[in-house]
Amino acid sequence: MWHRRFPAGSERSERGSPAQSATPTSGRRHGIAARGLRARGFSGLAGLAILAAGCHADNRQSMLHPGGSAAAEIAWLTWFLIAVCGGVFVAVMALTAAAVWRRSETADAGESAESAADSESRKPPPASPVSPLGAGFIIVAGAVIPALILTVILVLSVKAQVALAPPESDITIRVVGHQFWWEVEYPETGIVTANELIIPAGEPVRLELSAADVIHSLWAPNLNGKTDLLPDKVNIAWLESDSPGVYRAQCAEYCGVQHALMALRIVALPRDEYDAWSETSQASDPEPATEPQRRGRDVYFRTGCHNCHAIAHTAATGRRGPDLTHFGSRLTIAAGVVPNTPENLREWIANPQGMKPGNLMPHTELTRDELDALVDYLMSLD
Amino acid sequence: MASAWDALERLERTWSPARGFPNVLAEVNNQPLGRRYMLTALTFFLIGGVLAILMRVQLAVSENTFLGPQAFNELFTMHGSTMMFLFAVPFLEGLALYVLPMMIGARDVAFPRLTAYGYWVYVFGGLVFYASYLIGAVPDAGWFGYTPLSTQRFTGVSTDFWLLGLSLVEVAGLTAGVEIVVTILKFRAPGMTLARMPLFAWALLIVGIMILFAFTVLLTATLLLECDRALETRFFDADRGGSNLLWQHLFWFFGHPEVYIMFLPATGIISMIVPTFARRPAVGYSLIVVALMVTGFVSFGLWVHHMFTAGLPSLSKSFFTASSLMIAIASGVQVFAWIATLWGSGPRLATPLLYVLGFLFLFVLGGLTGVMVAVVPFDLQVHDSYFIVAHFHYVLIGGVLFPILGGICYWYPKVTGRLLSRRLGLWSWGLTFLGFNATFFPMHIMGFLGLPRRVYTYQRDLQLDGYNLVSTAGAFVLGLGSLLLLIDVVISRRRGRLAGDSPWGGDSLEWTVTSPPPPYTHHTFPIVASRTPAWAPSDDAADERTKRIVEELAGEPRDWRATLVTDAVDASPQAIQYLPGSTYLPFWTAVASMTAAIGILSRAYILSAFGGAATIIALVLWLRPKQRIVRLLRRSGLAERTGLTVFPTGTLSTAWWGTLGLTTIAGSSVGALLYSYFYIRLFSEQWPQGGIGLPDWRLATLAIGLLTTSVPAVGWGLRQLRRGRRWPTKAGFSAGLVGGGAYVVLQLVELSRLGFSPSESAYASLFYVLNVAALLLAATGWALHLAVQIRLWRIADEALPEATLQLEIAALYWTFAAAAGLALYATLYLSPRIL
Repeated sequence: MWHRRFPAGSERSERGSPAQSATPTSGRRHGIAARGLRARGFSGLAGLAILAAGCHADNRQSMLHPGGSAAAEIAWLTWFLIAVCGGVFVAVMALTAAAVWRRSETADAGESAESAADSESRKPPPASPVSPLGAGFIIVAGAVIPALILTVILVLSVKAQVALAPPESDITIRVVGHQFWWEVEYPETGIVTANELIIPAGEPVRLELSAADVIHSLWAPNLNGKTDLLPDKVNIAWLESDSPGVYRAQCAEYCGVQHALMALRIVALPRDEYDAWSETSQASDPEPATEPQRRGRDVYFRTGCHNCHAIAHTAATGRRGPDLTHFGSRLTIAAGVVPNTPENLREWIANPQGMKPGNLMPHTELTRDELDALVDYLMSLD
Repeated sequence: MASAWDALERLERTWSPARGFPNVLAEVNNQPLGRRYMLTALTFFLIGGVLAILMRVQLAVSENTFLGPQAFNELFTMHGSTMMFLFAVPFLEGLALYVLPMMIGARDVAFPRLTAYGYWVYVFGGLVFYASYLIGAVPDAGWFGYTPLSTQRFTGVSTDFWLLGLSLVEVAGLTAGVEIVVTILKFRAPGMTLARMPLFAWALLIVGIMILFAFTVLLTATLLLECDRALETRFFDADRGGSNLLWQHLFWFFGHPEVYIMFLPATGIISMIVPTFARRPAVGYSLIVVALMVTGFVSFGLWVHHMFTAGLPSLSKSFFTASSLMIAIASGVQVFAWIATLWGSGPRLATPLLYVLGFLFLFVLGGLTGVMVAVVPFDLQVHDSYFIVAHFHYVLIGGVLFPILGGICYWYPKVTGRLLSRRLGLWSWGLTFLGFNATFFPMHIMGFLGLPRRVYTYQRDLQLDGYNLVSTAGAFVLGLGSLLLLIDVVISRRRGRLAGDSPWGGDSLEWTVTSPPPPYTHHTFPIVASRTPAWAPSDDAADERTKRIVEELAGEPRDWRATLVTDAVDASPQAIQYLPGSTYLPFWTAVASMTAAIGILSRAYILSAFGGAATIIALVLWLRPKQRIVRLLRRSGLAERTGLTVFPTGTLSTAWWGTLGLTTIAGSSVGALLYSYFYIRLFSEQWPQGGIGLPDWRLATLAIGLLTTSVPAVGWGLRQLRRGRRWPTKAGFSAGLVGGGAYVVLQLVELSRLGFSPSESAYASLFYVLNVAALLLAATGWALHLAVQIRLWRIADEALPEATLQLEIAALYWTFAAAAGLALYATLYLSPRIL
């Protein structure tokens, strides 16, 4: 298989995300270490050279930089298509150039628009000699050769399609697209989270995709192609990451005003860490330990946060917004808009429309003190 | 000599375009209307370009705040819709309307008043579109309007602006489609057989037919969605048994042919420019024609490749990969035919040819990325990414805009009599070409790097700033290049060098008339004996009859507009077709149509009713047979002199062909409705949905029985007419009036006693809408029968032959209406019992 040329593990720890760590101390703590966004300046120039170079650059979202077998399959096919189509393009352009620049001996009539305009205009122009190329050339170059090339492409396409069929999988995750965030549910364990897909590395994960409102599409370029999330039916997709790492994914079907800022993180953990994560995630959040945290919890329930945001094992059962159970361990806020830090969280709650205008979270009037307490409480959900 | 001048002057006066306000509103001639179409389309092109520049400014750097998400989403919706519906298609229609009669040797297009109506609904549709900016409710659901985002639940009146503006523009497209097909089939110069037709006309003929199917499906889909929004039907409401994927199927069944509806005329332009500059006839003419046909046909079998990520069965996707790849072969044949034509001819690199070369570069590249995206696994990655944005701009700007710009440079001297500036042309071409590549090439890479389409911003850590900055800079260069050409078009109107009749030495008939052409286009109908009539004028080839007819019709008739009708295949003269002159009716009909649309938009249905009624009244006035014209034609003596009829009937008449076009449109619409019915049924667990029982078939069976049995009676009546028997004719046609009337009444009874409302479920909606469609088709036919009866009772026996056409049309339409009614009946009442 082609994807075998991309060895599992080794140098590719993280792709598609600027996040750092691959060795979290505990499953649930990975987020803390993964914080600290690092923007690497990249001054790109158009051109295939850069494209090729881009394939070797690490740490970025790219379909040509696969982290799993499905994306590797497609990446191989992509390079093949680029090579074939590039070759055809060069050949056709060379022929076109030759057609125009090579002139036959007798074709040198050389009149211009100006002289034609001045001369008697009804007179037919001096004819060129008959083209040496006829129907035979057109059929061979325009139909026969393309048909051969396209047949090869069709065969490879079908072959890859077969290879991309969902494999057997132990783990099923339900992903529900919302305007403009992702609900993630693990039916076997009952874990509900948002904007993060925690998967075990090295094994295929089956995804059941649907949407709560409009059509969305899940796209993790480093892992697999995209599949739409429809309100009417459940689509099946799958992901596999060869090695532990964090990948970026996003909505790829226009879904309304904030389609642009609807990302999620896919976190592949070693199997034992995944199991540990699953274990701890089923447990309830720790009780507020400090006075500010307790006050924060009051604010949470008094100002109505709980009407939209559920927290498992509490009275908060709203489902309109993301589930906030174990919120403190999340990597990002607002579906990948900013890293999950207390400062960012404060800014987000104080003015949800500032960071992500058009999202459906309403503004809540809070005092400075209430805001601090609420942030404290939410970050303590760990 | 004096009388010759007098004759010419009268001919000029008969055809002279209307001047001054409000006379220009009454214009129906193809030349001024073709020019207006093109200029209006170019205005929308400028607007769409400005929208594009604004988007590129926003995307120049990551996390930019130049525009908010709402404004940006409005921009890409309007940009796409404008460029597709308000620029590319109307421009090509305008070009076709202007150039076709000149190129095929006619004096006007087949339905001059329809041309005017089409132009005005196009303008009004565009105005409705952009009126949304005045209200501050700009369409923002994308040019593809996917449900459920485009339903009442998620978008407000903005989507109504989009749907209704679109509907008006689609109607304009349909009128142009009928116009183009009938003009090409019936108005070709004597001797211009199908096999000698210019390739531009071939491309347009195929596109015209495609429009009848594709635009109708879109029009039907937009009306269904508007019903969902305004009348609470449930076609696309998944909670009530509707389907969101149905919209995608219907939209792309239109949407993919749409690409070729723009692209094929563009290749037609290329096929005219290339032989001219190669100074030899097109090599592989027949292969190009076959390629055009294959492209047109296969383009209707590709639509699912826009839905590869929607979770459809894998096997069906492979089928659509194969058909998508087949299109590449058809395009390949055309490309190599042009290369073969140019080979070694030492062409002069004038601006039209430069655009052809630019086209070849960009289109071949865009075509190859098209091959790539037809490959399902690859498409799963790049679908809805910037790679697709790059791909279709290469195809649409490279494959459509470049030929259009080349066509402007090529035909401008014909339209205005003056050449465009060569220096400005070179600059414009170079800037456009470079700017285009700088704008769109980096987008391929951005797609690989995971940038989705339709995003108003992107995060800095995606590391896409460099590519985007290049792209934005390129957009400004591209904009400057296009602007230079438009400036050139404006200033050369007065200051350009005089062009002469044939500045490029083209091979087709338009280069044999003066520049600009006289308003009647051809004083003497040319006789065609080859594919390159302007290079080898050979009147000798024609038979005596044709020569005599052409001689008699030189500058004739002088006092009314007319053109020569020829056989659809071998182009032998058949009849003389009277053509109407200036009239305000098309304008007012368009105003009425727009009023109906605005009524729906503002949910003021009384306004819609008023607009609908006004449209019907205007149409009756428009189509009413006019005795004045009958007398004029009879007195002219032209029939005696030429031996051709001036009252063409049957396949000799443009009206008969026009009716055939209308039934094709209505038939496609019925087809789209039936498709919707069975699609929704296929994905329903229970049918009928929602506890509605099987429909009671008794009344409906009686109704359809009466309707269908009246068809043979009407056919018998028509045969009696041809034998000149007046009373049997009346009797036969009375059967249509009675059967149709009974059908309409019974259908109304049936609809009024249904025990459910259309908003109950998708099934209920389908039940109502399909029945209403059958009712409307029959009611229209009944109105035609009423008109027939009135005429039959009023006229004298001698005048019967002149009424033949009207009866033929009523009978033709009646057959269609009954067939459609039967299909709808079988679907609604029989299929749930049998299947």
